[in-house]
Amino acid sequence: MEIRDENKLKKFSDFALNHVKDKVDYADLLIENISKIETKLLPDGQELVVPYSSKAAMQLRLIKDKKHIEVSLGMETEEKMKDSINTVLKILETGKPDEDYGLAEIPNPKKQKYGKQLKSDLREIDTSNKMSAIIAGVKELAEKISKENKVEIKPEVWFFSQIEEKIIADTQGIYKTQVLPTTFLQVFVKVKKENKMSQFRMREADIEEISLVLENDKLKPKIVEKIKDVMDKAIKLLSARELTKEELNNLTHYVLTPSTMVFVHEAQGHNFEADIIKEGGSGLLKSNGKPIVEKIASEIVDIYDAPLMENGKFNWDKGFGSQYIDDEGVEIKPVQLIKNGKIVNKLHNRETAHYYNEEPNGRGFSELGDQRVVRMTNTFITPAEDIKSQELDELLKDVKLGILLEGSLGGQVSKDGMATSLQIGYLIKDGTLTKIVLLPANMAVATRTALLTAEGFSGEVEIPDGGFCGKAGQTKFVTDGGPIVKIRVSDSINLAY
Amino acid sequence: MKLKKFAKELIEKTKSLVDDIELCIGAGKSLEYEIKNKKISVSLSLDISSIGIRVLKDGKLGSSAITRLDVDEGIIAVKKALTNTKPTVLKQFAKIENSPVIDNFDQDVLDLFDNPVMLREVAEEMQTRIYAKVKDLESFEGGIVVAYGERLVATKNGLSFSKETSFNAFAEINSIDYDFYINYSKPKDFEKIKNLAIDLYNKLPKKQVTPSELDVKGKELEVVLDPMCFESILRTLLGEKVYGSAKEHGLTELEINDVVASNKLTIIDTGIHQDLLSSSPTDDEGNSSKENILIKNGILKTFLYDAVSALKSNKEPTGNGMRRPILAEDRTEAPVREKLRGLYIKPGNVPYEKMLSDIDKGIYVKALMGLHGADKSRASFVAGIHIGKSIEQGKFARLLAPGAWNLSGNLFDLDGKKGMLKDIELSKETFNTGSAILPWLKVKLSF
Repeated sequence: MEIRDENKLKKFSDFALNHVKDKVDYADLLIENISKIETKLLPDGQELVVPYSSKAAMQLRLIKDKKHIEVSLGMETEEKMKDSINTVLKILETGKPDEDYGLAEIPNPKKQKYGKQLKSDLREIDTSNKMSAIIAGVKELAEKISKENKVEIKPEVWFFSQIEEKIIADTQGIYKTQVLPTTFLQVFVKVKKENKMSQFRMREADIEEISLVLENDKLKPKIVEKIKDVMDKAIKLLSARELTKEELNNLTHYVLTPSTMVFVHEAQGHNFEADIIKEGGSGLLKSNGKPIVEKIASEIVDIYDAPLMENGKFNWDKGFGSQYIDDEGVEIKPVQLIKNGKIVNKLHNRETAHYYNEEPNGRGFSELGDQRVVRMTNTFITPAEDIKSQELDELLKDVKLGILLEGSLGGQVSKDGMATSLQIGYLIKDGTLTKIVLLPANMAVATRTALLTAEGFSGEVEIPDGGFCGKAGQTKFVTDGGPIVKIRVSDSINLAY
Repeated sequence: MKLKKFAKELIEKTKSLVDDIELCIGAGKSLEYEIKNKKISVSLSLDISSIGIRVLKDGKLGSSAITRLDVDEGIIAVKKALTNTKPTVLKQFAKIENSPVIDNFDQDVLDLFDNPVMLREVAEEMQTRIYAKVKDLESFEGGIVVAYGERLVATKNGLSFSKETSFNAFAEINSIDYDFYINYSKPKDFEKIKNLAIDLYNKLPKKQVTPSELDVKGKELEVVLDPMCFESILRTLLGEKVYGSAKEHGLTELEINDVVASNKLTIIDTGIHQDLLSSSPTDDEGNSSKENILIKNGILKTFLYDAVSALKSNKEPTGNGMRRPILAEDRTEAPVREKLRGLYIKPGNVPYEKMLSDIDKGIYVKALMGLHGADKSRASFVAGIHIGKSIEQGKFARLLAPGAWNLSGNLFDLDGKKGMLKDIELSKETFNTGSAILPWLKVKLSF
């Protein structure tokens, strides 16, 4: 887990901190250096490869006399950096003190190295065959399934694999580094038959190297199965229908599979981000940090922002949203947000932890030198302690008229609600999952009340889709998930076609 | 000048390695005063560059991206791009000449970087005025951002350089509505900026309404789309149906001269409108920006092409080849895709106030949630309403309750349902969003 050209990056870090240390009360910085390979298959059949992308930037924060300023800096030359920092110092002088501003201490200050030991550094190897194998594998499947089903399948592929190296340092001697690989594959399928068209999407993403999707330069069997499944669902959608108005009016339950749990991230998770809470923008907590309502979910519901548990422990080596330290050098802790339907914690960066006088839990993240804001990692719903997951048949047996929903194309959040487009539905009638396929629908969710009617769970907790969360103009890798969740219909969840 | 020097030197030093090279470079700085939770914080971005590189060699295309204006690193990136090239129909990159002149630069905005105190004072005043009027605001966010950017596109056959400034002020109240000011030039009068939040607050209804309360659940309703919302719908759904590549690959049912909308509707795709911040001399491939009449009086008149789709379709590029990121793609790493440039829609003849006053029961929609998940293959959407108001007896009455409202529609005829642009009214007034100049649109949509 060594940064490859650590001395080169450290030189910039030392230069910046040495230049400001006598001019400010405190300074800290983050250097992010990303090396990435990328390949795409576009809808028009064009294959594009970016075998080399190298990006680096610095985020510098200066505090003096309770005034603070945050700046994103390019990393060209020390001379240029000196000029830029001098400009920043002048602007800092023109600010006004903020008596509430401060930063919580960084726990475990002595530990320096974090991350994963790379098995095969993509910067050192020829990745041409690997990237070609991904595109060829998808095209081959599309061709085969097109023929079998007499449809035209047009797959779009987006694959990238990257190594992110970061340094966090400050004027009090903190120096921490992290090396983290990440790999992402998305296959978006458009299917055409006569005048009908449909679409479906799959993703596979984790903090792994290229071996996440490839084995001996071929798509892994697990990935092949996922892609086949996506093509199969897109074909099914060609003959899908909407729920009728009557069915919509008489619906008794929604049954949400793990791939639809973006609403836990959007409707619940964002409202626990302490910078949003502080601004008065949370739909669940007041700006003083106290819950707006006592209970926001039924007693069977817990929600975490953490990696999944394996053998009784949180496994930080997995999860597209996982890292070991945040971009302020704070080790990331698992955070339980909801316990038995009640709010129990917040997500903090150093600033909000100081503001609320709580422990920092490592949620301060930046995108390539941008300002560090509070972000989620992997956010999932889970049965509360002592609540057992049921077999699916058992879970569905009292569902008079329901819809089982799968796949989300991402969500969008407001203070009091969120909306997501769900990719496919199956009708549940009199306790039985039918083969009636339903078209994509939009689900609008009211934050404070949507989970009050959660009635049961089935299956294991999964975080199946990697996603990209946008906030403050920045993007962060995240995941969301849960087991299958049954929710009784209420005014708090609306489905529309 | 630094960008030009870098580009010329890199092209010169790599000319023997490649048949052609294309550089798409963005660089700039910004200064922001942000208001949150009654505090004003300052942040800066300086010397951040992004350099997208494409190379052609032996009929194949390669790409790479870097963030430092360092010629040595640029040479490494070119060599790396050549390690994994793919067949392309492109024989050479654009010959950059006679590009239109776009004046999106105001020295007065650039000078504001040297006057941060003034910017801070304007932000403070915006905050002071709203809190003086409303003591119990749940939340108020706002701010001012000034930015300066340089853009360069260069190939072996020419170079286009432009610079632009922008002044942006915004205000959001109680997380339920927002307003903004954006222009490339410095505002003549800062009073409007200082009053941005107050003016927004004064227009906000204080009560909320659900579809059941308004008795519109499951019914078709008259909907006025704010230009912001109208633009979002067009950008999400229209592009995919009018790109040359979609036509070539059978992903659009539309044909030239199809009647796709009411004869009241004329949509122009423009990369050269002087009032739009999105205008620039060329697209990201160096082809001159143009004005393309996309839909004239309801009839589809052209598809939009980048260099590749133009070659494949035996057409001229329309200046729509942009590095269009999707999801979390970085702009310089994003492939060149066709992209709608600025949008201009010819205004109608109904005054905005009359458009509203004619509605007995309807809604006004400013922003939708989850539109990015719309079904682009069918040009249809179902989305939650993020910001909207009810129109009752011709007036704004109540806020649409969050999480309770959905809106759906299909841009063009679909499965027997008439396209939403077929029966419309357009306001006489237009609004400039920075990337589009559009009127308000009245349509009938269902929930």
